[in-house]
Formats: sequence, C-alpha cells, structure tokens
Amino acid sequence: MAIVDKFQYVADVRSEPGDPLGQLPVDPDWEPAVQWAHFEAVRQGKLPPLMRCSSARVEPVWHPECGEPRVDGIRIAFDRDDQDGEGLLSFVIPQAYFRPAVEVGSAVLVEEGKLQEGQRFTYEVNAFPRPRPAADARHPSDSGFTVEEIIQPLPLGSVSLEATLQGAKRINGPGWSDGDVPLFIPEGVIAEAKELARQAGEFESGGVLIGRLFRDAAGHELFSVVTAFIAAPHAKAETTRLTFTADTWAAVRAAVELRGQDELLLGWAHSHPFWCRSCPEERRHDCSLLRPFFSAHDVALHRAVFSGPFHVAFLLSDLGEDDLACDVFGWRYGMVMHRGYYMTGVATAEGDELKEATPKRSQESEPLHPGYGAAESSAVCDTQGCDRPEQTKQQLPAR
Amino acid sequence: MVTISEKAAEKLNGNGRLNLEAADVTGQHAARLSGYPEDATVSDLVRELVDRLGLSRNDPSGLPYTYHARHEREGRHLHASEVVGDALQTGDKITLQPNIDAG
Repeated sequence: MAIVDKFQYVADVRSEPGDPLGQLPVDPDWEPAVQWAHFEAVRQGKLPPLMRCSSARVEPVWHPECGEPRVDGIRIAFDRDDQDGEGLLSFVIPQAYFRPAVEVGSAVLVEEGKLQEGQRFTYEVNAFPRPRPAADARHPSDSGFTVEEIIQPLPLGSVSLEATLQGAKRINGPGWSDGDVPLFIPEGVIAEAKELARQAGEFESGGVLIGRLFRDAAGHELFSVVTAFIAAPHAKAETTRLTFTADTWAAVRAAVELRGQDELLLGWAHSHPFWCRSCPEERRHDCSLLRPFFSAHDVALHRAVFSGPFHVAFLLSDLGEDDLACDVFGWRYGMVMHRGYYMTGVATAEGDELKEATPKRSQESEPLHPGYGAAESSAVCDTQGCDRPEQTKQQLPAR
Repeated sequence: MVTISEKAAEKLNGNGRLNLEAADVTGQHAARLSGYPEDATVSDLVRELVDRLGLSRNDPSGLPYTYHARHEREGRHLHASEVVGDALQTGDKITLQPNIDAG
C-alpha cells in the first residue's frame, strides 16, 4: 500500500515541571490508522467495499491555537473518482495516535540519562515538511522481481441489523463507543472460550473467532457476527504466555475450510489465569494483574495478525471471582481500545434489552471514547490519551 | 521419473524465475510476485514478503517474529533452507504464518 506522508514528526519532550528534556523524531505506524479510516469510508458507503485501501495521504492537522508546526491530529485522505464533486475524502485521527511511537522513542532519553525509567513526562508533536516520493504499488527489487498488492473485495452479506439486534444483549464494558462497528458474539461462543480457560487452569488458553461481515439490508451500516470459536490447536500454553504457532494458523484455516461457510477470521481470544492466587489479600488490592488488561504482546499480536479494522480480541480474565471477566478490544482510530459488543442467544425479559441495544450511527468527528482500565502497554490508549483528544500535551511514563 | 523430467525441462526452458501469490494469516494482506528468482531460499522469500506485505517484524521486546511459509498446494510448511525453485512452481500460493505470543 502506498501511504504518502510528506512530513516528518518530532516530539518535544518535557519533564512534568515543564523543563525541556529533548526532541524525539517519531515515525508512527500509519497502516492501522489508514485502514481504519478506509473502513469507516466503506461503512459510510463512500468507498467501495474492499478489504484494504491501496493508497492514502497522511497530513498533519495543525493545532487551532498554536498553528503550524504544532500537530493536533492527523488527517487521512483518500482520492475518489465520483461524480458529485467530492473527490477528496478525509478522516481525522487524534493526536493520541503518536503516543506509542513517543513512548518507544523515550527509551533514547532514558539511555542518555535525561529521563529516569518510569519517570513521567509530557510531549507535544510538531511536523515539518519532508520531500518524500510516493512509493510505487509495484516494487522493483534488486533481484529484479516485482510485488503487486492484491486488494480483495470485502465479503459482505446482507442482513437486517435490526433483526440481528432482536434479543441481543448490549455488553457495554468500560469502553463502549457508539462509533464502533456493531459486533455480535453468541453466548455459546463465550461459554466455549470460558470452558477452555477453566480447563487450562493456571495456564493461558486461546483460540480464533470466526464469522462474517454484513451490510445492514436497510442502510449503510456494517456489522460483524461471530459464528464460532476455534480453540487454538498446537498452541503452546504457559502461565503468562500463549504462543500461537504456524501450525495453529494452518489448523484454524483447515477448520474454516472444512466448515465450508466462507467464514472470515474475525479475531482471536485468550485468557489470563488467576495470577494472584498465592498473593496475600492486602497485596491484591492495588495489584495491576487483578484487572482485565491487554499486554504489550497482546497489542503486538493484534497488530501483526489481526490488523484489519474489523478484527477484535476477546479477553477472559480470572480475577478470583466466581465467573471469568469478559472484555473485548478492537481497532478505533487505528488504535487498539477496549470496546463493547452484543451478546446473542441470551434469554431476555420482555424484550427490554432490544430497546437498549439500538445503535447510533458513528460520526466522523465524534470525540474519542475512553478505553480505560486496560493499558499495560502504551499501544493501548487509556483515558489519559484518549478521553481528551483535543489535548495535544500528553503525559507518559518513560521506558 | 516423469515428474523429475518435467521439472527439469521446465527449469531448462524457463528463465529461472517464478510467479507466486502470497498472503498473511487472515488474507488482509496479499500480493502477487512476478519474476521471483528460483535460486533464492525460502528464508529469502519469507524475509522479502514480510517486508513487502508490511507485516510486523519484531515483538515488543525487539525480538524478530518467526514466519513460516505455508505451501498451500502441498499443505505443508516449507523449510527455510529449501530452494524456491525446488519447492514451488509458478502459480503457487503461500501463506505467511508467524509463531507469536500473547501475554
């Protein structure tokens, strides 16, 4: 994919009292943001339903008060050939998107002795023009071969969203956003994942969620429906780690083909066992492991394998209570965030959940909703970075 | 014997290059390779594809991910040391599948 970005970005880092500590060149990974924006355009019916976009432009949104070069966000723009004169389509990504890149870069300041590990700091991002030729979609290499990207159509079924919502129970979690693609997970799928986690005991467990994408028969909205959970075969489970091997992916693919229902890999699931069993009660109170969290490795796996804007991650956490906590994470503004979902196959009383379950359509400029309580890694946006997208000065702990 | 002869003839008549298709685990990323050298190793091919498909190269600790190339026609993972021209034919599809950790 060709992403044209004619700017270079620099983070001005300061200590919490405001003393300048240095500048960090930052080079964010634009791919998730671009694909998320593209998917939003598909959701709104403004671009054809393709799995990915082939090209996009990235440019800074200048701070409304400070102006250039202070960055307030990022604009992702797509050209489109249409007849109504709206040739340019753009989406704004909040400045919090720079956070992971800044946090990674802060390691340099730690090495230079300007920051202590774990010390909090603030940063502002500035952008400067950089002549940079656009990449060609076909890459001639030193070896003389070419690589041409294949853009697959997004396989969309057509079903009534309203009908799908019938009897569905809205699971808000801490990160519900009306802007997220509606996600439906059958109670039976959750029960299977829970049972696997219980059987795994002190080890992690996991698998892959498969299902389909639909376009609402009565409108533009896209939504995803999980149809099955495939327990990860050939995965290596440990107490604090679950390795999905190449054989895992091959077996999952074989299972999907065997089912013969043209299902997509919609996401993955894994569990965190009760790590605090041997800890005294008083130490558990403030323990960061006694809450659902998405680790840096979880974010990296999601980025590496499930980078599609509709991909989700289901987390089961044993917090020492009767039942396992269930949380879902997904892409929002190209960042991995806590999100909500609808549970289907649940017996409801008097259909009251249906009223609650009516979704609102997302708006392009809708403020970012917080994905709190889940941020072990900087790559997961927490409240600090995401509930105030208008704020361009960010606080972070140094690496 | 026939298979070997055909393969040998194909090599003699060909230009030492293959056309292949590659994809990632979910099929989000896919590409068509034209004129890939037969004498390269699968390790070379995987390295090129990870780069060209824009797949993640390192884990959060900076350690490189290990990707395996799944030969879809034969239903097996290729060994890194195999020679592309020996293992693959023009038109073959491979899928890159990583060993990757959840935490």
